[in-house]
Order: sequence, then structure tokens, then C-alpha cells
Amino acid sequence: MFNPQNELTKEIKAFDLLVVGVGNAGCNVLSAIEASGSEGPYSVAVHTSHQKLAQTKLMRSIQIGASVTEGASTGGDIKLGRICAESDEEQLKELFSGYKLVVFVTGLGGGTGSGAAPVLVRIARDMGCFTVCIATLPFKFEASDKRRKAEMGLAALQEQSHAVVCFPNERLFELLGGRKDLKRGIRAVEEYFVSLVRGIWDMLNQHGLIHIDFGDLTTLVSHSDGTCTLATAQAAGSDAIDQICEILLEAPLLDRGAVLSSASALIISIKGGPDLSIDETNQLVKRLLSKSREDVRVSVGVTVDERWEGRMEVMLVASEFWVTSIKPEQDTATGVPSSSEPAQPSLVQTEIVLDTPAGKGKFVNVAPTVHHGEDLDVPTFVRRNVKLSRNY
Amino acid sequence: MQPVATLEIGTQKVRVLVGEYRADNQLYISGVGEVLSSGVRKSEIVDLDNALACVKEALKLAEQSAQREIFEVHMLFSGGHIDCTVNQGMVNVMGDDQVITDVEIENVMNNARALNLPMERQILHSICQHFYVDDGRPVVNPEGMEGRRLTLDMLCMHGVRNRIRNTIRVAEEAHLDVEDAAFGGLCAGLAVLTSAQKEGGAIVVDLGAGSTDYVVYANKAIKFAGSLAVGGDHVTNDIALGLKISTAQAEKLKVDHGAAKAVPAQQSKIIEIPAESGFEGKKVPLHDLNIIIECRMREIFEMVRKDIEKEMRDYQISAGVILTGGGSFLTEVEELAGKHFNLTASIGRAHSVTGIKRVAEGPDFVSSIGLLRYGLRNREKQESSTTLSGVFKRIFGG
Repeated sequence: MFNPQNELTKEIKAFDLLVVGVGNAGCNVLSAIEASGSEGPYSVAVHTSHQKLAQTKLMRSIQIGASVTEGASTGGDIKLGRICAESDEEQLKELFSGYKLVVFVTGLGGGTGSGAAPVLVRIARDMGCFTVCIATLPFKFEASDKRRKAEMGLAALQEQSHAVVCFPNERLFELLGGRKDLKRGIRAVEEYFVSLVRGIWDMLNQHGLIHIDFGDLTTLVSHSDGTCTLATAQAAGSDAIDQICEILLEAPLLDRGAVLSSASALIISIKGGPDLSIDETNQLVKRLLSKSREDVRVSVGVTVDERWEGRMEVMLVASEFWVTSIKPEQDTATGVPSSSEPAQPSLVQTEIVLDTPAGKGKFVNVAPTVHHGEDLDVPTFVRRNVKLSRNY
Repeated sequence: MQPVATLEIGTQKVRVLVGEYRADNQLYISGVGEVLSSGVRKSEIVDLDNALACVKEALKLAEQSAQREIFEVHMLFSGGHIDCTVNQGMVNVMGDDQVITDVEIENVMNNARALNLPMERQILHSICQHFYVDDGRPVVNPEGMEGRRLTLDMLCMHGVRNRIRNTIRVAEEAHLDVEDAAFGGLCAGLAVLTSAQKEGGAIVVDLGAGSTDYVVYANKAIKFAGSLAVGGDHVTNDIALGLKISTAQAEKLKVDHGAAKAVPAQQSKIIEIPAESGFEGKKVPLHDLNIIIECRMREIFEMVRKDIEKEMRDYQISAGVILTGGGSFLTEVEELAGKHFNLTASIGRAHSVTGIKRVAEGPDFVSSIGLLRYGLRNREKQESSTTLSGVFKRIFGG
């Protein structure tokens, strides 16, 4: 068994961030991170299947539910997945203790992803960790039973974790670009996940010129309703900024810019070489925000790395709804005008600014209606910035 | 002729109607079952079990009211995924005399209906726009005319296969055979427009709870149709979010006090939302309520107008805009629509309908009534003509 526990936990605790891959998809992403060789976050794979853990050859892994499944997989049984995680609660508690942030990576739809992951998240949360889950839903062609399980798993994750980043099928499919080759398609998704995890790691662990820390992330997450979207883009050359803007503004995972225009809070983390200029940074942020809401809260981080000469990477974390009202602070406020039409003069009545943008109410859990980059589920008066006589 | 039954699984209501033709081509409504819907958002079924329970309940009520059992229904379809495409078909006229017969007509219809769609979409139904004999003027019925070539413009309504299947599955689980299906906007047009209006040109906007459907008629044919996944539910949601009240309170406020136009004079008028358990009551200026409503309604009309811009440029729309659906109950909505489309606007009522009064006269039943007409007309064609029967074949099997 791959469970040299005492050594393992001591070693990891040097850092505040722990990445946990749960189930098949989670293990695959971790393997890909390890295979990429360079320095990365401390990660642990958690699975019920002894065989899968042996196959993935990860440095650190924990097998759960050995007493329940005897090393076999859950066979897609959510309940069994849950029992497996619960049966090893003590072991998991020890794993999570001392971390500030635990990022879970999983694919929903199987027994471990949908059943065990929510239990892991709960345990981590009980141990005082801030929890972020990055999850995928099954492919469209997979059995409806699996999709139903995935939805149940997602609901459970949303209930337990501080933040869930979940990619709807449609957005993932666009990312694959309609590729017929399933293997390559799945790999593309995995690679994207790797870049996301690495992005979070880079953002939090490298001391940048303008630093984004754990606090920025928790602020963003704790004031949103817990649903976030991530995207990354890399480019090189003189037109790197153009390339990055193009990728991010057209990114399927950001719903082709719709997320950017409806997001109430954003973190933009920029990584570049010593040649990165203030002007470039400024230009990039401005362009990324050209379509966003007037009242969007933005945190910008800049990291310079010698090895990134001539290259640039941008990671974007967007929260779609801002629930609690916080007075804008100097460093987070921007004054970029929104794209929506100017309000009808007859409708503008009074002075009091609506500083708590409404969310989507009853449409929060249904597929959004996006029309020319605008999320029509958000009230029209909010999008067009029409003022009411007072704050309700 | 046997009565026809229709089923509409709407976002707000599930409705079953039973109707038949009486003398003078009057449509007689003999049964109705209507229940509040559950499990439907934006005209799409999100919870099969809840939707099924509603369908069963509405069906039971309709069976009681019509005093007959219902086995087959026509279904109404709506939702933002529905689109239209005009597809052209063409055949050469056979025979020495080159007279167009029903054979050519049937062939050209099949030909025009064979629209190439992406895998995930399927045709809901198709409607003939105009025939052309050689390169002549458009004609409605070419039978008996002479020519070498017969062309047909066919308007095909199509939607996402899974969503259509989901809706049909609910009907099937309620032990109903789905005889045929039709698009809600088209049905609204069938119910409210006179043939003079169809000829003169008209825009029908069906303001539903989950979606807004529209059709453009000109020169007796449907030129364009579509659906937006925005409707009365969005208005209610906007009110609830804007005024921080529950959806139920927002809905009541909208129905009791809401108007599609906000004027400064409403500033001083205060509406009281009564206290209830867990809510201590609230006072809201009418003006704020109406600002929220006007913003949304204005946007809906803007989007429809944008979609049909070409048709409005190319054709005369002398009968103006006709509003139907639950949203047409909203005070001053026709003024807003009229101003927006720069046309006369009115609330549509189904014509030549008798029977249960509430159904025959309410603008919210209009599309179901239109569907009854559609169903009865199809059946008439099947029964009276053997030659064309193949054309109106059932889409979804029976």
C-alpha cells in the first residue's frame, strides 16, 4: 500500500496548499502534473481502487475504504464511495490538518468522485481548511444514469465546499473543438486542468511584484455564491497581449466572454519575464475588463520570473455573483465603462447607487440564457445600470 | 370529426384542451384542464417527475370536463432552442402535358423538407410558404397549373432533439400518444389572425412565462419565426431581486400593480407588501416596480425586433403587432410594443371560438387554441384526402 503516512504528512505541511486528486479523473490530473516535472504544489491522490493507485505511480497517495471494498473500485456506487471515505475519516483528518487551502480535483459521475469527494471536502472543512473543488461533469454521450450521479455529486460538493469550479458540458465540448478523437479530447481536458491547478499554485506561492494572496481568493469566494470559473492563457512574442485577450475573451470555459461581462468579481494573475512593462500590464487588464461590469471588483497580481522572458501567462478567476456588499476599495475598484446601452434618461431618477448587484435569483441553477455576451437571467435594470429610488 | 386534444407543458401552467368543429367553422372548446406547472424553467423540462405529475393532473381535469377519455394529444413546443430555416425544394414536372399534379406537389414538399441539420437538432414541423411555377410569381396552390419546374419555399421549425424528446417523453409516460407537434408562436398566429391580417402582414408576439415566441406573416405566409428563452418569469425574478422580496410576492405585485411603463408621476404612489411570517412588510414606490418591468419588457421587444429586422424592412406589416400569452395581461404592454415596433399594437383574442368561456376569451389560452385548430386541420386533411395523407404523416409515430 502506498501509505507512508507519517513521512508524508510532515513533508507536505511545509506548505499551505494541498491538492487532492479524487477518483480516476483526479488521479490522472495529478499524474499529468507530476509528469510535467517542474516544481508544483504538494498533491495527494485519493482513490478506493488499489489497482488505479498502483497504475498512476504517484509519489503520494491514499487508499480509502480498504476495509469496505478490499481494494476494489466502487463500481460507480455513490453510497459505497461515501462509506469508503467515512471509514477512513481519521486518516483523512490527519492529512488535511494544518493546511490553509485544499484544492480538490475530481471528475463527477463515478462512485469515488460523486460519493467520496463531498465527504473529503467536509472533513477538510471541519479541519479548518478553505476548500476549492474543481470538477468536471461527464461527457454528453455518457449514460444518463452517470449524469444524474454527477449532478447529485455536484450538489453535494456545492453544499460542502467554499467554492466549486465546475465546467458545464457545453463549455468543455467547445474547448475540445469538436475533436472526434476521444483520447485526445480527454487529454486536452486533463491538460487544461493541469494548467488551472498550476495557475492557482503559481498565483498563491510565488512572490510577485504585485502580490495576490490567499486573502484575495477567500474574499472573492466568500462573497460570491461559491461558483467560480477559471481560465488560463499563455502566449509568447510581441503580440502576446493580443493573443491572450483573444484566447480569454473567446474561451469556451468563460462562455465566450459572457462570464467576463457578467462577473461581479475577478482575479487577474499575470506572469511574465523581466521584460514585462507596466504599460503592457495596464493595457492587458484594460482590455480584459473592456466588457465587464462597471461595478466589478478586480484584484490584479503580477509575477516576474526570469525564465519567462518574452512569454506571458494570465490566469483569470471569475465569480459570477457577488452576494454580500462590500464598499469598493481603492486597489480593487476600476472605472471601466460597461458595454450595455446607456440608460434611458426618463428612467434615471435618483442618486443612490445600487451597490449590491442582484444575482440571478430563481435562474441560478439553470442553463443561462446568453445573448450577444449578455446573461439575460441577470435583471435588465442591473445590466443597464438603471437606478431605483433606493436600496432595498 | 372526432374531437382533438392538446397538451401544453408551459413554464407557468400545464394545459390540456379538448375541442371540435361545430357549424360555421366555429371551434367549440369542450374540455379544459389547467394546473400550475412545476419542473419547467424557460419552457424546458428540468424535472421529469414533477412535470409528469402536473400533466397527469391536468389531463384528469380535462377528461372530467370534456367527459371523455383522452388517448392522443397534439403538443405545443416553445423555448429558446427553437429556430426556423427556409429551405427550398425543386422538382421537374413530369408528363407530356406538364400539368402540375398532387404527385409533383408531394415530391417538392418532401424535397423542401429534407433540411440538413446538425446531429443534435430535429425538425419540429414544416410549413409551406410559397410555390413558384418556373420563374413566375409566388402562388399558394399550384395544382393544375402548367410549367416545367415547380419550386417551393418551406419554412422548417427545428429544435434541440433532446429537449423535444424530453417533452414528448413526459406525454408518453402519462400514457398519451403524441399525434403531432407544433411551435407555440405559430399556433398563436393561427388562433388570432384573420386571413385579411395574414395577407396584410402581421407580427404575433406570444409573451409566455418561460419564453417569448414570435412569427411574422406577410403575403399570407409565415416569413419568419423564432423564440427567445426570456419571458414573464424573468420579469417576476427581476422584481424579486430588485425589491428583495420572494418570487411569490413579486408575482403578485406584478399582476396586481405592474405596468409596462414607468412614469415619474408614479413616484409618489406607494404600494404596501403585507407582512407575512418571516417578512415584516415593505413599502415600495410603484415607480420602482414599473422601472424594473419596463426595462425587461423593453429589452424583450428590442430582441424580437432585432431578430425580425429584415422582414420588417422587406414586407409591409399593415396589421401591426399582436400580443398574446400571459404577458399581454400586463397594463400598457401594447403601448410599449407599439412604440417599439413603430406599428399599431393590440392584444390578440382567438376568433370564432365558443364553448368554455374562460378559455375562449383569455389571451393566455390563445396558443393552445391555435394548436387545436392546427390539429383539427391536419386531421381534416387526413380524412378528406387520400392523396395528401402521406404528406401530413405523423412526426413522432403514434
